[in-house]
Amino acid sequence: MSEITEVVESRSTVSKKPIILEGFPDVGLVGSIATSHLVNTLDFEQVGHVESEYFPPMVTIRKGDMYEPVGIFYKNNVYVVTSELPVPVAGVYRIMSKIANWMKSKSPSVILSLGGIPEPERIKLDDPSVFAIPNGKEAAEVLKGLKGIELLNEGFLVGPKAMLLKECRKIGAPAIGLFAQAYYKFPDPGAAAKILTILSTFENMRVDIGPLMESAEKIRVQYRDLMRRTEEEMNRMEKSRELEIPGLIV
Amino acid sequence: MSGEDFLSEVERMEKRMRKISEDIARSVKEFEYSSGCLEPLYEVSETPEEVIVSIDMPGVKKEDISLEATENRLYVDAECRSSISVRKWGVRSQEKTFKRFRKVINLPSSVDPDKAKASLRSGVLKVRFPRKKAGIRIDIE
Repeated sequence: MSEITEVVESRSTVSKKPIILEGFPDVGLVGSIATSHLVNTLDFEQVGHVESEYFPPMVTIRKGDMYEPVGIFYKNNVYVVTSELPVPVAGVYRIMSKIANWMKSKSPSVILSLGGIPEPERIKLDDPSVFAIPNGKEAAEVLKGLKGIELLNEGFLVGPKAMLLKECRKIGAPAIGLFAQAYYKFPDPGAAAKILTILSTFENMRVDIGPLMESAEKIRVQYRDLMRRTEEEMNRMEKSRELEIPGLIV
Repeated sequence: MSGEDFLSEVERMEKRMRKISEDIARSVKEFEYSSGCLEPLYEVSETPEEVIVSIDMPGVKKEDISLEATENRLYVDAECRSSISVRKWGVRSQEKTFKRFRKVINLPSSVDPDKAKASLRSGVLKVRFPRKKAGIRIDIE
């Protein structure tokens, strides 16, 4: 039997050099919370989804309607890929490669992979920093237009976001990883809000983060189950390597 | 062991791990729905001197937390200021309300509970335990 992993577009869209955001669950569920807030607040329309036999066989039911748990949303020249499921370690290469190729087919101006970077002392930080990893020169040029970001000069990046940046580089699609300092194992709406503040540089992604912070406690409770599932996958991927320092000097 | 045997053994182990994870996930949800208490997310880390436990309890105030510890366990029980409602699946969907966080956490090594220090910030409780001395220091001449 042939393997099933594909990006399905259920509605056609017209875009020109769009921005594409990716918010798969990861450290502190930063990308998931940020993309969910953006999609809900700006009323994005679901235009597709990602199917893969690596994902558990499930659908999401909301207000009586059925949705795919890994959705693609679109509005105002911005695509958002967001998920209610962590990417299983066995499918990371295949799934992220398919998604990278679909993203490339949209001729994006930039792909932004949103996430968290584990910070053991997060409890002491009122204003987490955001670090960026561009995957090439074109992405680095886009990064110059974003304020309040530090470059991640040394370290490891592990998991779906690492694969997405790598795959995009391989096929010549400009991508930037944007990672806010976050709790490793706790949902972190504060870190997500910081990412959204950075994204507000783009007019079509400007959102009020007030409601997000007001409902932060509720979000932390609601996202506990996804955090547990995500933690299991992070453990399988050796995600804790992100806390280590690279040993090789090139 | 041949390559094929090795791969099937890896697959069997993967399946066993998945089953254990699923059993844990189910037992957490069963505990929550039957007790009306939420099991908080937590993280345990260790340094040579300390065992540090962080517990995520959004919406909880310092005065509503009860903490007890032994050399190997931490018991936490906390009342939420406002109750948390979620819709539960079943034959008919029904709303379930939670008013407490409750958890017993096994510590990875023996600690001195009398010298523990706890702090709460933004709903994250941090408890630091000094490790129990397992031996005496020997100076090298």
